[in-house]
Amino acid sequence: MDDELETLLRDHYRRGADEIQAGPDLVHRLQTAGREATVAPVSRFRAWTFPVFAGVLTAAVLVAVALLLWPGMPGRHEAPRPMGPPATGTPATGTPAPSPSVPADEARSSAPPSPSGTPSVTPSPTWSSPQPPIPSPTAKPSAPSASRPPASSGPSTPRPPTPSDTGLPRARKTAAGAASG
Amino acid sequence: MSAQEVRGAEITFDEFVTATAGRLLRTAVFLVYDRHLAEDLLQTAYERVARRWKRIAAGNPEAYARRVLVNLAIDENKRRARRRDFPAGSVADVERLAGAPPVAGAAGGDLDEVLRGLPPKQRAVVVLRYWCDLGEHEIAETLGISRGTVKSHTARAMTALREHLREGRADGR
Repeated sequence: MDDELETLLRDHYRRGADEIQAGPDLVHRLQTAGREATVAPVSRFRAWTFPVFAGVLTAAVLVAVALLLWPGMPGRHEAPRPMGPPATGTPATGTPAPSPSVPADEARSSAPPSPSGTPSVTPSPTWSSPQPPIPSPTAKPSAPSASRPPASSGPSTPRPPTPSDTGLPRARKTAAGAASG
Repeated sequence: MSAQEVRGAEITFDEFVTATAGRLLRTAVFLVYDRHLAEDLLQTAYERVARRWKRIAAGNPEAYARRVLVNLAIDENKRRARRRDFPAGSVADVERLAGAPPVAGAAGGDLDEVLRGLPPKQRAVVVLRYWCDLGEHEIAETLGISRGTVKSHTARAMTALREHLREGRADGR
């Protein structure tokens, strides 16, 4: 049985082989494929050179842009923000904390604590813009401002309020000037 | 396959291809039963041989090429078997493949049907034994399996073929 089967298989393959021929086109194709396979590593390297270079360049540009534009990076100055009212050093409400640098005796002698415990908050001019010079009709432009302050130059002529002033300190000053004059 | 195997010591790669293309193409067709697929697998095998030509030319390049080809065919047969389990095409594609006539380039007939139905390694063992005339030791080297496994694959394949012959004779009566 096995011999018969083996003979049958060998005949079967022999008959099938007669129908299968490798033509010259196929042989040429196989030879060309083999030849190309031997030179493939170099050409593969060349083929990948440009995409790899482009990828590296793109990554470098992205990293550079990220480093330049990333907020909070060291060595990068932020744009100045509009400032709020300046802190006076003491909270508006509540007891002032004793500073450790000032001795207790000195602090007691220099400033007695107020009975209420709340410090007096004095209004201050805004920090947004420096105060422009106040024009006065009697003041000459050539006169030095240090020798004669503009507040005491003309007590008889009231100075018009400027828009940048908060009103209260200057009003006090002018009132004091009027009382003394 | 009675022709003497080509030794690569004193021939070029092109001469090697010219001398062995026909034999290896038939082997590939018997393994996969598809002429075009067999040509593609043979091309892949020759490309691998060409890459290592300097190293294998002094030895037996045809045996190396055959080993590459057989293993490629086994992998391809396994892949096709999986694809058959999970058809990915349309209904028309599946119907066309199911009713496909015997592949051109391979002999038709009942025996072909039985051989096509064998598992990939059993089919490879049968082809190497009865077409390539290889012994058990050479088949084991080619497939990278032990001689005992070769024997068991051969025995199972022969049992299936014997069963087929018995059924054929019973139907003939």
